[in-house]
This record gives sequence, structure tokens and C-alpha cells, in this order.
Amino acid sequence: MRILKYGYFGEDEAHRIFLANYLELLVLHLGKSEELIFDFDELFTYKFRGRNKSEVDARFAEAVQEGFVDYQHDIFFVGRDLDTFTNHEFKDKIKVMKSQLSANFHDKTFLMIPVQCIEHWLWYIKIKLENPSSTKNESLESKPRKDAKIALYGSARATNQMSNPIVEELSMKLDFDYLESRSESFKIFHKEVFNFINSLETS
Amino acid sequence: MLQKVSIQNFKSLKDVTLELQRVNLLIGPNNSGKSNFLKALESFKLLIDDYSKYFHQVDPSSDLSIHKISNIDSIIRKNDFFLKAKAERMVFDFRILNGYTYSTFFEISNEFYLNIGNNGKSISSGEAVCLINRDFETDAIIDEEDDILIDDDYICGYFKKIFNDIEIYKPDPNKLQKSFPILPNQSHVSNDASNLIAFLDTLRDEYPENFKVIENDLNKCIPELTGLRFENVEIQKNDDLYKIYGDKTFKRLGLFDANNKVTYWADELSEGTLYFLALLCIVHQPNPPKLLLLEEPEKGIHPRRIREVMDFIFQLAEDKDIQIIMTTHSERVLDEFEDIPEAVFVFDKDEEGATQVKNLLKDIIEPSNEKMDANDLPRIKFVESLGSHWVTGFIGGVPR
Repeated sequence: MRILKYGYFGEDEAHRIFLANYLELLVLHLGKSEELIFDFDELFTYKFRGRNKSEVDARFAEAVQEGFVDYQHDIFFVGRDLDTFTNHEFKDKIKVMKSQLSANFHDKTFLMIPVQCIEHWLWYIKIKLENPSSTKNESLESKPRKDAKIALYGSARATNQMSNPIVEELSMKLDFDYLESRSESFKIFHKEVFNFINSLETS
Repeated sequence: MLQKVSIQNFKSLKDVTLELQRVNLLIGPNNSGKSNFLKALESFKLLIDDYSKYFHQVDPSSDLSIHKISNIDSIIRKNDFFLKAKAERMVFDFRILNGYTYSTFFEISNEFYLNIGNNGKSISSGEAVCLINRDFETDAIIDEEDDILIDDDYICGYFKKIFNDIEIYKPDPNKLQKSFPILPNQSHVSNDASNLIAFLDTLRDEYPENFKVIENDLNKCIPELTGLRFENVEIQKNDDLYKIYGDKTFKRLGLFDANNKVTYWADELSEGTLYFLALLCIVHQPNPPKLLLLEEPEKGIHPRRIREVMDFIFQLAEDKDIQIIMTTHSERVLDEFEDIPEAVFVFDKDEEGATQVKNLLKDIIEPSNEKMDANDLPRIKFVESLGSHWVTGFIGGVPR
């Protein structure tokens, strides 16, 4: 059994909840639940936190460094919502953020950057759960963030108390293939994590 | 100037030591012990002011003997409050044992140290000279050689000179909104600044230069407000203030807006403006305390004005040779310490609820730099933005 201790630095609880459930489901999905456990470093994550996008941008590279050097993380995740929904700007953002990371950490740091916000990924999951047989492929990521939050939480400014149980419930019902087929930003994140886990098998 | 303070067993402060600078900043989450630290220093002041009173409460049947007094470790018990402060050549060492107060003073010179009680007697052993408390048995003295007579006034006087008027200031804007009686000789701002009207009235008549500086500084930060105004008010006989102060002239305080030619009276002013005025009065007192303790001086101040407030505070320390210890919850205040991280102390509580204090430079930045250097990684750029590194967790002192 291999235990991978992971750190997370990001701006809100929804990312962290989604990530924990995503990793748990991914291990199951890959049939590795007997071989691999992702161990979330709560202490680190409750200490290190960005309150908004600019704080995440300003501090994430240092947070990654702290995670690997001081907290002995095996892997690290950075969560940041992206304001724009154009494919070009999304790819540029990933490139810029990666360039800020020390070379030592490139292959074990994963950028979770939902286009618009993590609620758009969850919105796709919600629609799939509510319309399991629908083949309609509507892009939600061009819709305003406020719409996604209202669709999920019933409020544009939901408290954690309102939103966390919904994030928890929806992310536990994540369908990788479906979300990958709908969201380019999820696809890129998922592919990187997937490849990393597969490379563990061969290393 | 206080150089080093150690406190044991005072509320959440089980064992903390701070090496202080001229202006010091305490940061940390709510309830982490910052205010307890200030309160411990305040207790220290009260005991210095009237310490002989406490000595006379010492139980003569106490099992403490001079042997134990000379051996500090043996008389520190688990729950004793213990405070030690170093100032220039002197160390003040104070503790409360079993509800009683016991105190020793040490003077350190090149040749010897002086261990002083309040009795005016001494013992010496080799290079060590020890004066013991007259409330303890004297027949336990060993190797008595050089009796040195030092009386209470000498000791109190010496320490009062160093710790002259330690004051914790926590202005209460609600009290500033009320009228206040014109009392004589109010050249000192009270801890909650409730006597601001009487203070300013005294200043206007007796210290016009200080009064003018306060008006100028206020105007510098809030340009529309050009002057201080007072107005007599009637007070009902059933008013609490009347009950306390009786038949006096009561006044209310206002700030004059020259552009609109109108006076805004205290009950029309924002809490932030009143708080700022109180802060100006504290720093421009004719005889400010030598050790000034300020809780959240940025309270109610617009973020863009915080730099000016901090400039006042640093200038006061410089001009009047005052030591300042303040707490803050503002990252902007912390940013003002980018070039002096050694003056910042980070408070946190451990799992058992005891306060832990780290010096930002010595305990956080330097060890981090060493670790990153050893790993051939870039250093964390703490001082490029201390406030940002604090709120994102790099420095500690953050709530969960």
C-alpha cells in the first residue's frame, strides 16, 4: 500500500472538497484502492490559504515549495477559478502558473483551474444526474459564474454551510468520462493526474 | 527600554520570552494571548508602583528561605506567575507564590550581580551580592560579607524611571461621543480615552503647542477637518456622569469642517474618526508614558490612512524615546514592519491552549531561509509582502 500525502492551496472549500472526493473516486475507478491512498494534509491546508485569486496567484509557488520542503508532501494541488472562458486564456494561464513553479516540483504539482469556477464542473455533474439519458452537449462554461452558483446552491452568495454539503454530494457522484467530454478544463486536469498515477505503477 | 520580557503562568502565557525593540507588533488570531501579554505588563506596572504593599502580605511562616531565594529554580512552582524583564543593566524578576507576591531584583555589571530584596540588607557570596527580603528568615543567610543598604525608594525609583507609566490604551469610541466634565489638570489621556474632552481643554490652555500639533495631524489625515471645537452642554441630574462628577461644567467635543463651515459634534462623527483623534491625543500627550501599549491602533481607520497612523507612532517612539508594543489584526499594519521583522511577534496557541510566541525574523524567516538554501530553492519572499504572507499562512498566527 502506497500512501501519497498531498497538500492543497487554493481559494475556497469547494475546490478542496471536490479534490478529496475526486482522488478517492479515481483510485476506485482505476482499481487501485488496495494499492494507493491519498492522504490529505489538513494541517497544511488549514494554515495555508488564499482568500482570493490574486492571493493564490501571488503565493501559490511559495506554498508549493513549503508543502514539499516543510510538510513532506508527495504531491501538491493548486486550486484557482479562472474568470475568463476562452480557451486561449485558459491555456495561457496554465502556462504562466507552471512557469512560476520550481523545476523540482513540475511533475508532482497539479493545477486545478476550472474555467469560470468549480461550480461549473459541479453543474455538469448535476445536469447529468438530473437527466441521465440526455445526450445534449451544452457548454455551461460560457455562462456567468453567478448562474452556476444559483443553479447549484439557489443563491449567488452561498455560505459554506449551504454549499459544502451540495459540493460533497455532487462530487461523490462524479462521472469522469462524462465530465471530461463536457469540460476542457477538467479534461486537462484529469489527464495530468491520471497519467501521474499510472506512472506510479511503472516507477 | 525593555529589552527582554519573560512571562510564566499568566493566563495563557505558560512560558514566553520576547526580545523587544523600540516599536513592537504582536500578531495572531483572536484569543491567542496578545492581550494577555499586555495585561501581564500592566500587572507588572501596578506591582512596581506599590510593591512594598505586596511584600508585607508575605506570610512569615512561609517555608521559603534565603537558600531557596538564591536558587531561583527551586522556588518557581508550577502555577506561579513569573515575570522577568531586562532593561539595560537591570533585570526585574517578579513572581506571585501561593497568592503572595515575592520579588527579587538583579543588577548585572561586569563584575558581579546584585540580588536585591526589599529589606535593605544583603548577603554576598564571592562575586554575588544578594539583598534579601526582611519578611523572610535572616538567620538562613550564608557567607554574609558585604551588607549593602538599599532602600525601597531606591529600587522603586530606579524601576519607575525605566518603566515610568506603562499604559495600555484601548480607546472606546462610545465614551468619546459623550460629553465630559471640565476637570483640572487633565494632561494625561485615560486608558479608554474617556477624558479626551477634559484632556484637550487642559491642552488648549496649558500646552497650546501640543493642542496645535493634534489639530494639524488631524487635518493632515482628514483634510476637511480643520479644528477642534467645544460646547457647553446641560447634564441632567440623573445622568450617570452627573452622579460621578457632580455639578461641573460639561462640554461636548466637535470637529470643524472649514469647507462647509460646520461643526460635526462627537455623536455625529464616525467611530473611526473618534478613534483616530484619541490616538493622536495619546501620542501627543505632554508626558507620554515610557512604555506605551496599544491595542489595534488601526481600528476604524481607512486602509489608506494606516500608513499615516503608523508614521505617527514611529515618530513618537523616535522623538520622545518611547517604547511601544501594539497588537494588530491588520495586514497593512504588518506591512509597515517589512524592514524590521525582528520587531514582530507571532502568537499562536498550542494543542493544550498555551500561548506560543515566535519572533518573525529569528524563528520564522531565518530558519525558512536556511532550509530553502539547503534545498537549493529560492527563499520565501516574506518581506516583499509581510501582510500577504501572514494572511495566507506562511508566517503562522492565523485562525483555522
